Amino acid sequence: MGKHFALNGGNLYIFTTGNDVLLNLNSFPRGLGLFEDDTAWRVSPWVAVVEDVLQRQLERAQIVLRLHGYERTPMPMEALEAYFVDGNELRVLEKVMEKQMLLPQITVDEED
Amino acid sequence: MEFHVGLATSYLALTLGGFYFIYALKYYLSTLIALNLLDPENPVLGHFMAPEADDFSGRCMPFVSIHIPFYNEVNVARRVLNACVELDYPNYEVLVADDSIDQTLDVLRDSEWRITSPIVKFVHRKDRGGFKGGALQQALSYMHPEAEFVVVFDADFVPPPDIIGKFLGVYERVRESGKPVAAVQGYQLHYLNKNENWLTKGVRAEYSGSYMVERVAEEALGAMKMVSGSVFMLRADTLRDLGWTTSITEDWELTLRMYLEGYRVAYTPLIQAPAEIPNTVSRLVRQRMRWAEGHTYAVRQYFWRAITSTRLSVAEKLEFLYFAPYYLQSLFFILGTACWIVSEVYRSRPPFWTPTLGWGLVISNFLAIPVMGLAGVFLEGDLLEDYPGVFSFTAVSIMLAPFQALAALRGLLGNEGTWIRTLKTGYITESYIGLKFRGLFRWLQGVGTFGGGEADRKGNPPQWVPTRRLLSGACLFLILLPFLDRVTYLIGLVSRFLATERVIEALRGMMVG
Repeated sequence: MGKHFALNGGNLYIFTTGNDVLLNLNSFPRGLGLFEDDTAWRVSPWVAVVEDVLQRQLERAQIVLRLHGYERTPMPMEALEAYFVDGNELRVLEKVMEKQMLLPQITVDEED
Repeated sequence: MEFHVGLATSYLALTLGGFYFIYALKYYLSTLIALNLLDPENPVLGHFMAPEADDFSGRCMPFVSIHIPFYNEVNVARRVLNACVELDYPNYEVLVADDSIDQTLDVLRDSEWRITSPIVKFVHRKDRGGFKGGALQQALSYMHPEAEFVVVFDADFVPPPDIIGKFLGVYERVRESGKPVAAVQGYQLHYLNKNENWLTKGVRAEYSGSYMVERVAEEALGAMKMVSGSVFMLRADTLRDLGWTTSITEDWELTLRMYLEGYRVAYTPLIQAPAEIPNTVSRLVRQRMRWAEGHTYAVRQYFWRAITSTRLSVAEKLEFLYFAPYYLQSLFFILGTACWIVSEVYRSRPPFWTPTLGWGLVISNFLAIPVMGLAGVFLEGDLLEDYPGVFSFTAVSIMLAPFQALAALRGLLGNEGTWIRTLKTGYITESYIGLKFRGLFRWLQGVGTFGGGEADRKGNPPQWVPTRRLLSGACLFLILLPFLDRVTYLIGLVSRFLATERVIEALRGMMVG
């Protein structure tokens, strides 16, 4: 249903909804320093969080994320943290739906 | 002057020997209790400790959160995770509190854990602040809000599939009896690499004595019992309230706080999770030094609060008093031995000293832990296989004494030191299949009476009753050994009294009448 990321409170949140599976964390180059021993990070089946992300890390991370079909979705930090803890996607779904409603409608002409 | 030095050291040696004998006495009594309690012919049958299989089928299944602290566990990380995601329980999560700086991170980053059921969460910290307690405390803040129970396993454990149901079964049974139960401790079955070398065989026997004998007796007597770092279930609300601290023996420290809050810990040897054994002397020494230092430091912090608390029962306070100087035993052992040698050199002894008392104390103290270890492996049905470990363990105990003494002194007089982790190698000498079929099944089928041995050709189980009696008799004999001359003197007095003509006449008169 969706692959998203958000930057909130200096943390990078990567999250999915529906049947989408979170990307392999090894997809990020080691040099980027996101999911490494000297950073604080967390991962659940739906949310990966990297704390205190630097701007240069974020810029490069966005490239990787967009390559994997993730899009930036503003989301309150509380909702993301709660989603990490309990996995209840209703906490983030409303905002995700809002964003999808704002996207240009794609119409397909039916052939006769 | 020589006379005084000799006499002083002989008194000191005897006092310390007597102090040590109090510990030995507890080990012997514990052995007697466990041998009787874990006897299938005994109607009690230790039923209060026995978990019920499928206890929760068709009933409400509370959410359980499994917490596993990791620090550079690349050798065992996948093994424990694979075991934890295959438990026979539908409502739980696995939460790894990670401080690793090695290839363990590759395991955490692996996407296979994102598609398993149950939920697996990893929380990686960039430093080791607070060590294991710090990592577990952070994990606690990411625990599922519906969690009612927390189960903790160290990374080298391999929990069996039915372990959550069994924990809940025991918890249900004991929750209504006496003080509220905050935790249920299971048996840390240090077994996986028991045949790796002489040291692992020894430590295996040591754990068997502790978990099959000593803690069983503590449970039976309602004494204080500690949660021991792994294989225990806690009430989540209690843990949320109390939290983990940064102590290097965070388990013992939490135990003390739980008791001070009016809770208790229940123990059963029948919930078992196999684990590794430290396989080198240096690793074992470092582990035991941490235990000695952290334990003694925590005792120093909580001693008066525990003694004066109105929430601890008399039995719990007695056990606390016994357990408080536990690691200082090593110091007393060394001091006592030194004093004994000095007094022997000077050939000075107190007037009431007899060879039976002196040598009886030495023998009785020396054999207490080996006998408990023998009883432990016997009760598990592993006597024939594991008895050599008892000799190894005796050697290990003596070897560890100076290190434990030093660490206990540091804990008593200084600040708490740092956490030195025990490396897990992932090396296994015992088969998983063998493990699955041992333990509970073997015990429930009658270990102690006939378990652990081969049936004869007619299919009759071998009789182990003599072994049980032999061990019980040895305990009683060793308890009495230091006082044997006094006992025989008393018996002589009584028999002389009974043999006097007046008594004989009186008995005759009664019989005729």
